[in-house]
Amino acid sequence: MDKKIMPLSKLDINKKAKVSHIKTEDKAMLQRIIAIGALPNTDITLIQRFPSFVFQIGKSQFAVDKELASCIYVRQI
Amino acid sequence: MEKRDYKGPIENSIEMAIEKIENLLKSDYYLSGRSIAILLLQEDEEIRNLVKEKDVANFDRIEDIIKDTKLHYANPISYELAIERQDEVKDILGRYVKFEKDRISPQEKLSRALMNPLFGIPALLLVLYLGLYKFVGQFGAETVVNFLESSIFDKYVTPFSTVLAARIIPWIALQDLFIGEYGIVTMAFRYAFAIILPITAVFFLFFSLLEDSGYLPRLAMLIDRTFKKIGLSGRAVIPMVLGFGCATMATMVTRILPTKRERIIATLLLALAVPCSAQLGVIMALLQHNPKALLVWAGVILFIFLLVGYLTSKILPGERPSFYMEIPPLRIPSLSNVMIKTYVRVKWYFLEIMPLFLWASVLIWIGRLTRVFDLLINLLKGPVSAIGLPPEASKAFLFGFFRRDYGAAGLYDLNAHNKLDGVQLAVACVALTLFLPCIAQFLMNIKERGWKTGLGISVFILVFSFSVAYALNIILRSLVVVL
Amino acid sequence: MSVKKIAIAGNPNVGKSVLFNALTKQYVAVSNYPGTTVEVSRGRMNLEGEEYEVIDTPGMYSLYSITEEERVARRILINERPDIVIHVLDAKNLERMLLLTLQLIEADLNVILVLNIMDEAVKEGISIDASGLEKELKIPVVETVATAGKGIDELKKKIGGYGKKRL
Repeated sequence: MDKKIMPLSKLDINKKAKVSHIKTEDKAMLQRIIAIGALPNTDITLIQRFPSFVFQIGKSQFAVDKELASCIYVRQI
Repeated sequence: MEKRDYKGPIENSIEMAIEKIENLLKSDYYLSGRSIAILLLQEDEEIRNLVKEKDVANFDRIEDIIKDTKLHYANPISYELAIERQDEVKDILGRYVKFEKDRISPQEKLSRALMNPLFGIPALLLVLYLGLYKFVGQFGAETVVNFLESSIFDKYVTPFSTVLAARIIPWIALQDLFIGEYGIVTMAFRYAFAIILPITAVFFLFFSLLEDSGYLPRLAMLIDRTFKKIGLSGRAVIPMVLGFGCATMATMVTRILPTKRERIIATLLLALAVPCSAQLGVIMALLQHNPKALLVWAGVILFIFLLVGYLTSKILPGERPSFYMEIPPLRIPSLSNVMIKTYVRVKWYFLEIMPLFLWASVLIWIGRLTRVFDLLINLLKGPVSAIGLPPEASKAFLFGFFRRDYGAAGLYDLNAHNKLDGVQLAVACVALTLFLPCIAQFLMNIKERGWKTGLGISVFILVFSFSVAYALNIILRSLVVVL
Repeated sequence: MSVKKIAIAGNPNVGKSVLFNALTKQYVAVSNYPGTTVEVSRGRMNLEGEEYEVIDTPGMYSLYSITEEERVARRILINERPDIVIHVLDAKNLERMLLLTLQLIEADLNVILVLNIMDEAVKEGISIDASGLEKELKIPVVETVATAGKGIDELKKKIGGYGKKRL
């Protein structure tokens, strides 16, 4: 566990990572993230950060805003 | 699986709670008791009400179990369950599905380029130019419309029905209802079939192609930051782009926006500053030989769109919109599917719109016969003159309420007789674009947003459109701009 | 003989409507679901002399609903009591979409799993052992490319078979 944990918004582009946890007080936000499938232990790759954050989980890509991207915490692998 | 560690003592585990609740559910829900129990534990409001109604006797005990279980978990139960489910899915996939190593396909390269602003924004402008201007504006609103109007209606339908009506209807006043200047055949049918049908059909074809190619979500992600400034999220591009086809239909589509606040802002902007295809077609026709006036019109409308959106987002209470959207792979649309979609949309539009056309013709006929319209037209002459237009234009504004495109088409007739100069043309087009939505959209606003909001939006637009046109006229005149 | 009901369920954008059109051929009715602003299409299908009503439900990610569409889709499952639920998913997103399949099975519905858009999944290098999945989940599984009409006959066969076995 020497790799550090950071929000998805800080992850380098095209680096493989795993979701570590979700951090939000907003229930609706949590449901959105569950629907997207960004759950702990899932592989995730950030593709782009401007003008919106785009990431890939499995074969699906999602565009999200900074607020949502900051709720997903990841660990680089 | 670190989250598993949070699990409370076994007697309070989610699994135990599910079982206990299941045993307390005595009614038939069609879904299994286990399923209902899990939804209850996730605090699903609708299911909670359903159970409260159907299993009154045990409801309090069920609520106690839910409360107890929640206490033993650090995270919301929906999150815990989602993680558990995810593990189950991964286990199944591991045994039955093989993934080849990721490689980036040419399609994926194009997709990434389209999402990169450096390439994506020029590409977006190209799509809008080719799609909206060339295909819908020039091909649909000019080539096809001209053909239908001059080769079909002017040559056959109008002369034929004029002769027919003159022969079978003895009263001139009643003849007028069918073949007069605003008659059912000469105006309602002609506008509906020769102008509106081709423009909307071509637009919906373009929109269905965009939709099926998977381009719209990419557009949404490019524009999200900009839209956030006007209180909307990128998701709102879908109703906004659709609004260029039919703002009434687009108002209905604002349902895809997650919050009430976003829906109100989108409805206001659609009614105010997004011209529908029928209007756009006539405005293009009006301004096609005057590119400077076209530029002034487009600039003013865009400015108003952003300004009003920005101000509304500052005034309206509520939380900031959140944006998330799946980006599907780019696809070559299947022609038959695009055709079916276009057909269904055009059909909807016609079933919704055609009766209103007929009513508008009848109302205009009654209004003219009883001279109520003359009164209203006279009332409008004041503000119309104030924005520097000839008094005849007030007719276009009044009729514009019955259908926005009638208004635009009224101006078209005025222009055909060379009664407007460039500045007047630009001011008139701005006023008409901003002016009250057509009666169909007015009704849709009320239906979707409720009486208070729907009416409020309309009153605001009535005052605002003339104010902007008034200001624009003064600015252009005092700068001695010649368009 | 009473008409059997089939509900088509699944995420948004997985080809539910295309599948609906392929099964029903003729559109019967598109109307707002009572008390909501969500549109639901219903059509008829005749299969080996048996009459079915097919309902195209709004997109849902999960039985746990957040959006109005999801609530309507769930209400259809509860109130219309469909004899068969066809869960359509995008084969290349099996990982994210199988969750709903598990929920539907857990709800004791008669589920047929349709792995749609198989052509794209194959292109992405995904291979799925459909018969293995069928045994694991204990429900019929069909691979389709609905836009090209592939797998529709197979699906119809499974619907017919389901009708005889369990209803």
